[in-house]
Amino acid sequence: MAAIPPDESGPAQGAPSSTSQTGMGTSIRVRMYRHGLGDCHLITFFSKPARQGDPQPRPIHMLIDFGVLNRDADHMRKYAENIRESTKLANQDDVRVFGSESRIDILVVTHEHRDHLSGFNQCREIFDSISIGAVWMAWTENPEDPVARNLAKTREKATSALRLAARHPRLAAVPAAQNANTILTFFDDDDNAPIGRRTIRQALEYVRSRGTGPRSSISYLTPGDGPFTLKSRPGETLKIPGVADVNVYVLAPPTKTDLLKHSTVTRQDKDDGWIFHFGRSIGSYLEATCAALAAAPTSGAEPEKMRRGGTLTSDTYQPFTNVHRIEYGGPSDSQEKSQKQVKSQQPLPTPARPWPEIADFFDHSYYQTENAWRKIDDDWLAGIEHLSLKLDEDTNNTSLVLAFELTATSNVLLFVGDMQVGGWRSLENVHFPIPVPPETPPSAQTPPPLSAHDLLARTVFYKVGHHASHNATTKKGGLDLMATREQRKLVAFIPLDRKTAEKQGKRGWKMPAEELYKALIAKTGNCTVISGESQPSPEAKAAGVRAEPLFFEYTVS
Amino acid sequence: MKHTASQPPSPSYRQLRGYAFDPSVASQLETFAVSRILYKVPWEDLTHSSSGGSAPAVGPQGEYLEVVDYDPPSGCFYAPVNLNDPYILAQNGLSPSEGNPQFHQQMVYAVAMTVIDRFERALGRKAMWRDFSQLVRLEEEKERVRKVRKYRSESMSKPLSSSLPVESAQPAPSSDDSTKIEYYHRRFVQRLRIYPHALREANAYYSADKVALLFGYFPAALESTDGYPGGMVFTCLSHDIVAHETTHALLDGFHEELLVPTNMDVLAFHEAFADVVALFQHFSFPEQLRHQIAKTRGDLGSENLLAQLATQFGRASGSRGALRDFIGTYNDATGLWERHVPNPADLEHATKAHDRGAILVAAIFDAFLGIYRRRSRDLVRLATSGTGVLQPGELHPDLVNRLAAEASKSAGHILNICIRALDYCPPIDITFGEYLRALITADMDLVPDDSLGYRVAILEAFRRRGIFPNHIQTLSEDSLRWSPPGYELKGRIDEAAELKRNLASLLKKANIRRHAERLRACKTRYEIWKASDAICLDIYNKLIGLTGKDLELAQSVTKLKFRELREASDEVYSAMVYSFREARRLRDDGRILNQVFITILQTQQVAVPADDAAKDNTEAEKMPLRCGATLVVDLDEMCISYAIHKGPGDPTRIQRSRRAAKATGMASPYFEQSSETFAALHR
Repeated sequence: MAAIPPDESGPAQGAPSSTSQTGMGTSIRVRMYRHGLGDCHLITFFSKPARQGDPQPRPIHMLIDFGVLNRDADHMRKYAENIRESTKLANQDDVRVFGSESRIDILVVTHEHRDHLSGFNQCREIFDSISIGAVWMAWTENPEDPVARNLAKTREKATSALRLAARHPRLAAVPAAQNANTILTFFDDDDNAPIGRRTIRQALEYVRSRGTGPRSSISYLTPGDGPFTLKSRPGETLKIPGVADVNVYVLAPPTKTDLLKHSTVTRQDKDDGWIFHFGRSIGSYLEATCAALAAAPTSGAEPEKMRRGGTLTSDTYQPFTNVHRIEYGGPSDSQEKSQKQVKSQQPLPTPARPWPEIADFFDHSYYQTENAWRKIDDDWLAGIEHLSLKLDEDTNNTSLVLAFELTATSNVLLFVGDMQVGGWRSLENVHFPIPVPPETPPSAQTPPPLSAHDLLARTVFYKVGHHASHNATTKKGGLDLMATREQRKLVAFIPLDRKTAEKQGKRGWKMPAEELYKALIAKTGNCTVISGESQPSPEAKAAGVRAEPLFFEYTVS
Repeated sequence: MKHTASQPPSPSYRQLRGYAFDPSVASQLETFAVSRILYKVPWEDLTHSSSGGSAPAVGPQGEYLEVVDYDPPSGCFYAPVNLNDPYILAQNGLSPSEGNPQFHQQMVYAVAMTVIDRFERALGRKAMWRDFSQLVRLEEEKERVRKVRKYRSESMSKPLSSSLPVESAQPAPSSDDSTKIEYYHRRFVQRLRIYPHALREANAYYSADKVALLFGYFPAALESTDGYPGGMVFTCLSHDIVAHETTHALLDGFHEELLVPTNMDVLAFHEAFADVVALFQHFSFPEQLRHQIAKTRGDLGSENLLAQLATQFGRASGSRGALRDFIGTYNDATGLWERHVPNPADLEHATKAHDRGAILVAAIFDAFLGIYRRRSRDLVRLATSGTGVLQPGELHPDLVNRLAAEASKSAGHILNICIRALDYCPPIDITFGEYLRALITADMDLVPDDSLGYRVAILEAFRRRGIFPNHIQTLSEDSLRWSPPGYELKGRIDEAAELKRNLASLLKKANIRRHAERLRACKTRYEIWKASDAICLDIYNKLIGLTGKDLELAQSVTKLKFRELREASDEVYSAMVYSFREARRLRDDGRILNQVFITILQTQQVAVPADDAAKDNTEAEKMPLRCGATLVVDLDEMCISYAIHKGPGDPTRIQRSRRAAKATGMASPYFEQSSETFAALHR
């Protein structure tokens, strides 16, 4: 296994070095599972004994996410078994203490999307048999945090409204709705779970429950949390138990409101949960659209015609009073047909041609055959896709972003979840103020805070965000800051199965995004590894990337 | 039999009541008095004689517009208004009301017709909408014809003719492989369709695919700064929104390729132009103008209703002020209105269409303010015994009237200049700098002696906003004016004279004058459309039939290539004569300017710049590039006054269009761009 020699520049300024020289030299092994389009990384910390002659300390395991798209539980079980196997405890004392053969010391969940969480539904019984030490989630999942609560409420409301809207039979033929449906599957039920259908929220709740047991803990992390302090519990710091020389930094999700587009910010938005930055007007679009759809009947061969005979009592967004309504489904035989249908189901059918002189006008304008290209039956629904996309993007921006710093070499490993542009932009404001030791004379200069960008610049391993989609790794304030292979031996992992990606949506997703991929290849000197590929590149192999049927792995020290 | 002498003469105008700005202005005591206006729209009969007898054209459905009030989210229609109903005629239309859909129809009709009328008056010719084009597949037996005609399957290109079979357009080829050809069949669209209640969102847009305006309605934000929280807001009741969208449709009917974003300015220009028309329409409302002049004491550079767009919309969606304000904005921290300070760097930072567009509008509005101040300074001096310093208190009503007259006149002039400049724009890939050149050139043609300093005001305002054209020596009128063909021959008087002679003979051969006469004889818009279509086809055939010196000349003037079209070599070039328009305009000095504007479009295959190709690792050596030219022909002199071309010679343009193509490719992460450019732009 190739180890990376220490950088000549030594530890970064500001990064505190451990007082004792023992217990140093931890190496971090990153294992990217090759289970399809989704994220699952097992990170193992191998520490050196504290004193010479001491026994080798137990390796510490951290699992970040376990989810996939378009794969069933049987498929996922292989990987879950491997995780259980790989986290087996060697020492029987440990087994007794933890009450389980296997132990994940820290379980990290980045954000509530299917491709990061589905496995906790699909292979729940396997995880039930693994002991979990701590659960780390983003502050946005904290039920005690009022902002996070609002955020979840807004998201929940928007998701269910959109799902309802996008699945309405009225939208079966509207392309925008099909795209919206694909996006919404990120939040959706997991049809292949052996124990009935479960939503992705339930997977998240399961993980949360594993952190709330008597012998486990749960932490909701905020950017700025790190080796110096924890915002939520001042005085405490973020630590990996049993690993002395690795610092953990939390970079995102952002808590700042200045990420928002100025044009759409309103006071109400700020209260509502700002990440879901639908302008109020867009929010009302959703409400008004759903009200209209709710008023439409959900079954029947000709929903459009049926709707006209339906009751509209629930639609409170009608612009005018009922006296102005003229329900008319068009001229000729199609009209007669719908008449019959309406008659069979409705006690009081609306007349076919309510007011002949008015119907005449619509026959000769809206329903004129040669002008059919100008009809607008579905245009009002086009916003649904736009909103779904927005929702998806906003959820990606709730990703928990972690950086691990090896204090001996100052090397950094970066895991960004699915963070998109908005999140990357916030990193410039994330700093970690370095505490001044109590014995320092007051005249001494306070050390400048450690910045998130400084961590980026020292990155030697990068878990590429959002399966290398085009807007999930920014150039400025992102990849540009990272060192090149020549400077820092950068290796990038992309969890991605291209075949699955191509099947998504109407046209397939372009993953990896061509330009980003090229930039990554250039930056890493071809040491960019895609999980779905059969073999890593020769350069990556030479750099020490190990290939196994179930995973690729790489070790940093 | 009717007694002729007792028949009343047909009226020139139909007067219709409506909101001057939008309903929110009507609900404030301060502005209540000026919240309504009588729109004077050109009289049209609004009856149909087709179905025997004369049925009233409800809707309204006239020569230019048809209002179809279908509300798909609510699943119902609203009854169409009959503007010819005697009760409606007798009271100048229905009274403004938010709760009456028939009034909404009347409002959109009145505003849109006013805008169309304004547009036509400035251009001196009838307005047209975008053609409806339909893909037609033909069994074709001639391989060579297929090649020559390949351009017709390009989405943006116009077919040679709507009525003639395509084959007749081509030099007779002879070969007998059977292949399929595709081309776009174009149809005349007489009426722009308006749907006043099409969407349930805070949006309104012009759909080029449907040649229709779609207006939305939405409940006001709960914390909206005024008005009734949660109350319904109708975009179709806002003068500004209706005027803006109508202008989009007019501009699209004028140059439809201005919807193809080949650089950052193209869509921004579309937005800016629509805003300019909506904005300057305000100054044609006499009551409102006087009221605001009195309120601002003659200083139109301070906060006023006239310089803002869509007040109700802006506030209803939760922001403090109007949707757009071109002279100032509310500071979020202090809550106070502050005037914008022009900064040439703004343009560099603005990348979104609306932000860039706002800079162009602000520049044009600045030019207007400069002109208005200059024109009104003497009035202020007269009213203040020569001191020029106004006394505190209210202005004298006479002074207000006179100031209003000056403001209205200046605004009218500026709007005329802005609209007429369209004739002088390149047909594709427009930039703000080129629009500035078009503005200056158009005005120099009509007002050779700029005694009132209009052009200086425009130049100054554009300079302060950092809007400059590329490739000119100095920022002066003369450099900005478009060049005539052969300007590179400066100094060689004999060559220039020969060029002029040759061009004149070329124009004669192309029957330009006869074509113009034919166009002028047409009465209805459909006749004009058919005639222009035939003329474009004729000129196209002339162009591809050119040989020898004539061909060289035509190619050097337009910077386009016609030889390849005829020879149908492997390098397939497509071209089309997009429009042929005439204008007779009165110059400032009393003479008539007798002009024809011809636009030609072409797609050329150009080499990908070497460094670009290396950077992108592309194998392709060639890429298609849209080119085009506008020729301004003086019919009296029989010369080409200006040749405005967008040829393949500019390497920055190639890079720009590559970048633009890439940017649109990246704009939508998972899915292709929606076809409704404006829907997304406004969302």
